[in-house]
Amino acid sequence: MKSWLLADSPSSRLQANLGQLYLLLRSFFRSPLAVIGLCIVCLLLLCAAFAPWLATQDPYQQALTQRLLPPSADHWFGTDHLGRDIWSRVIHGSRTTLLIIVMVAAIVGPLGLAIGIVAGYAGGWVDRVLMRITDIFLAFPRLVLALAFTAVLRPSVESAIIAIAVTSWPAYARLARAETLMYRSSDFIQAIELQGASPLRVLVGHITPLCLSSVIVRLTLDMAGVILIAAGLGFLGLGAPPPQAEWGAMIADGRNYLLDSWWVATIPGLAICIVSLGFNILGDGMRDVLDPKSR
Amino acid sequence: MHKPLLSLRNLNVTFEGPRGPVHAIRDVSWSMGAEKVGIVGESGSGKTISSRAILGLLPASAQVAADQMEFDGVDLRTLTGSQWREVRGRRISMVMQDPRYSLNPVMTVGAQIMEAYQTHHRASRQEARARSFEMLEAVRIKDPERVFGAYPHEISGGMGQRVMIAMMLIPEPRLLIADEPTSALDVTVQNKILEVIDDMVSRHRMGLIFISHDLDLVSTFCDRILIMYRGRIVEECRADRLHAAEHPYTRGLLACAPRLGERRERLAVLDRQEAWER
Amino acid sequence: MNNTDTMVDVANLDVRYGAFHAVQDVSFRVGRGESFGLVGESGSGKSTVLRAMMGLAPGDAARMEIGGVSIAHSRDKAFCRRVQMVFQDPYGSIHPRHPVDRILAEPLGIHKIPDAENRILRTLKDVGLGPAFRFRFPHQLSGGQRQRVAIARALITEPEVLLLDEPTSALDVSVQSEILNLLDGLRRERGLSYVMVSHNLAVVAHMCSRLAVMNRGRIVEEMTREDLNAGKAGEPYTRELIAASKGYRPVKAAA
Repeated sequence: MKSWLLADSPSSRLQANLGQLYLLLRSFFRSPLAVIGLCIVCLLLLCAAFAPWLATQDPYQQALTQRLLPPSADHWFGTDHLGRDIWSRVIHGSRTTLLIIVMVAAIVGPLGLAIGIVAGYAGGWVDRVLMRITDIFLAFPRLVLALAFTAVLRPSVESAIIAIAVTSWPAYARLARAETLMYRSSDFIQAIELQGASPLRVLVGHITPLCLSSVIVRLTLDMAGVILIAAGLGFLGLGAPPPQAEWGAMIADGRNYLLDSWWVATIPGLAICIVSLGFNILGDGMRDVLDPKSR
Repeated sequence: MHKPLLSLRNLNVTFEGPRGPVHAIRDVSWSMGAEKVGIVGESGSGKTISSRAILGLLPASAQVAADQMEFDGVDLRTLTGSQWREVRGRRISMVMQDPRYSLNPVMTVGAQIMEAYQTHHRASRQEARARSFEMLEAVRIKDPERVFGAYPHEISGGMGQRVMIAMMLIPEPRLLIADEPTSALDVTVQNKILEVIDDMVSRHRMGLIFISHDLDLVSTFCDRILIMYRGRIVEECRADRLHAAEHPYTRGLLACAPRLGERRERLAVLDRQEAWER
Repeated sequence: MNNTDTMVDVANLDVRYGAFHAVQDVSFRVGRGESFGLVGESGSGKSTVLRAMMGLAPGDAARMEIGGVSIAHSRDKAFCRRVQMVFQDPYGSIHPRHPVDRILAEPLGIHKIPDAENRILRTLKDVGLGPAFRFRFPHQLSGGQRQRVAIARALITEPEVLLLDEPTSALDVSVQSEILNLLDGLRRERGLSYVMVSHNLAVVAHMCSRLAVMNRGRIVEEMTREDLNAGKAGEPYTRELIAASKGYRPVKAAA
C-alpha cells in the first residue's frame, strides 16, 4: 500500500493525489506537538458526539440540597450553585462550543475566500468596492455588534454565531486577496488565461487551490480565538441562554463562588483553555506542513 | 612553486536530506596561488557549496570533513566563530550574483562601503569615507559622489556589481570568490565588470575563484579551470588548453553549447554516464 | 518569402506604459514554418513585443495579423488555439498544485477538443516525456522536464504559431541543447512558426533563420543567420553585442 502511494510514476490522478496526501500526513505526524493538538480537537469532537453517553447525569437537573459540592466520586467535577453536575455540563457544553466553531468556520471560510479572490483577480473598481465593504465590516467591534443583535433578537447561540462570523470574515477576504494578488501575474496564471480560460475557471481551478492552505491554517488558528470570544459572549450573557450548558456562561455563574468553590468557574475555564490551545497547536502543525515555503 | 594560497585535500560535505544524507561534495582536492581559477559546473555540481565551505558559511547541519583545508597558513577546519570573522570579509571576500539581493536595500551605498571598511579596520568616519571614495574610483565609477549617496535601487545592475566589488575589496583580502558575478548582467556590461575584477585582482596580487556555469566565459577570463560534476572535480586544466580537454563530461559541455559562427543542424546532447560520479 | 505564406505580420507596434515608451515602431514578418528571433538586452522591449502580441501588454499597431487574421483588437478563443506561448521560468510557468495530466487536459477542456486521453499521451511522447510522467506534480520534475511540460501544454491544441520567451535561459547548458533540439524538431515536423526572444545571440543564431536586434524599444537592425554567423553587422550596437557575446576580451587599460 505504501509503495503504491509513494510510486514514482502514479498511473491515475487518484493515486497521485492520495500519494501527496499521504506525504502531507506523514510530515504532519512527525511533529509530536501537532499530534497533541489533533488529539485535543478529536477529544472535543468525541465529547460532543457522545455527550449523552459520556455525561453521568442530566446537565439540567437541579438539586438544591447538593449545591457547591467539591469533586468526588459521585460528581467528578463537583456541582455548581444549583446542584447541577459540572462534569455533565462541561461535556454538554462541548456541543455548544463545537457548534459555534463549525458554523463560524463554515460561514467565514468560503465567504472570505470568495470575496478575496474575486477582489484580487478582478482588480479595478470591483476590488475597490469589495475592499471598502470589507473595511466596513472590519470596523465593527464584535461585542458591540453582539449586543446589538441580542437587543434585536433574543440572546441565543445563533446570534452569537452571526455576530462572530460577521466580524471575522474580513480577515479572510484580505488574506485571500493578498494571495491572489501575489499569484495574479505569475506565468502559470497568464498561461492558462492565454489558453482562453474564463475567469471563473481560473478562480476556481487555479487560484483557489493556492489560497486554500493559508485559509485553512488561518481558520484553525482562529478557532482558538473564536472559542474565547464565544466564551466571552456567554460570560456576558449574550450567548446561549440559561439553562443551556455553555462554558462561558458557566464561568459567569461560578464567578461569585470563586474563592470557596473554585471548581465551578475553573473547570469550564480549563476546558476553554485546553481546547483553545489544542486548535492553536493544530493550526501551527498544519502551517508547518502546508506552508509552501518549506516544500 | 610558492606555497599555495589555498589548499584543499579530500574535502567532503554531507547534508541531511529528506531522504537520507546527501553527499554534496566528494573528495575534492585542489590548490591555488595568486591566480584566477574558474570553477565550472551545472546546477547540482557543488560549485557554490564548495565556495561556502571555504568561507565556513554552510548551515550547522552540514558535515564538513577534509584532510586539509588551509588558507594562507590558517587551518580552516578548526576556526572558531570569532576567528572566522577575522578571515571572512577580511582575508577572503565574496562577490555574489545579483546586487539587488546582496546589497542592503535600506542603506545608502556609501554607508555600506564605509561599514565594510570599519568592520575590519579601526578608522574614523573621515578616513572610512575617503577610502570608500578611493574604492569607488578604483572600480571605475564615473560619478562617485552620486553613487555614494544613492540607494541600491537607484543604481543600475552593472553599477551595483561594481559597488559590491568595492565593498568586498576594501579590506584588501588575499582571496576573492566571485560567484556568478556577471550572470545577472547584460552581456555588454559583463566585459566591463570583468575588466574591473581583472584589474583589481592583478593590482593587489590576489587569488580569484570565479564560479560560473559558462564554460566559454571562464576559459577566456581565467588562468585555470576546474570542472565539477555532481560534487566531484572531473577535470582540471589550463584555460588555454580547454579545447584539448579529456573528460567526456567536459567535451560534452563544450560540444552542446551553441556558438556564434558555428552552424550545426542539431546541437550535441550530453549523455550522462554513471561512471562520472565515481 | 511569399506574402500568402506570412504567418505573423506586425507593423508599427507601439507599447506605452503611461509615459514610458517600452516599444517603439516595431515591424516584422514571419513566414510559415520559419523561426524569427528578437534579440536584445534587458529593457530592450523584446519580451514586451511578445506580450503585446498575446494581449498582455497595452499595444497599439497599424497591423497585427496571425495567418492573415487581424488580432489587433480582440483575441478570442480561436486565437488562443492558434497562438501559444512558452515562458522563461520553468519553475513558474506551470501550476504548482496540478499534476501534468491536468495541466495538459485543461486546454483541451477549454476548447472542447475530444479524445483527450490519446492526445495527452501523444503530446507527452512528442516532447520526450513518457507516460510515466503523466501524473507527476511539478515539484517532482526537473527544470528541463518542466519546460517540456510547458511546451507540451503549448502544443496540445495544435497551434500554428509559438511565441517563445527565453525558453532556455533558466536551464543548464546540457538541458538547453535538448530543449532547443526538441523545439527545432517540432517546428520542422509540424510546420510551426516561431517568434523567439532571447538575450543570447548564439542561441538565436542556432534556432532562427532571421532575427531583429532590439535596443531601447526599437529594432536596430534585421539580419539573417548567415550574416550573424559571419559577423556582418551594419549597426554599431549590433557589432558591440556580437563582440560581447564572444567571451572576455581584455581591453588594454587606457591609463
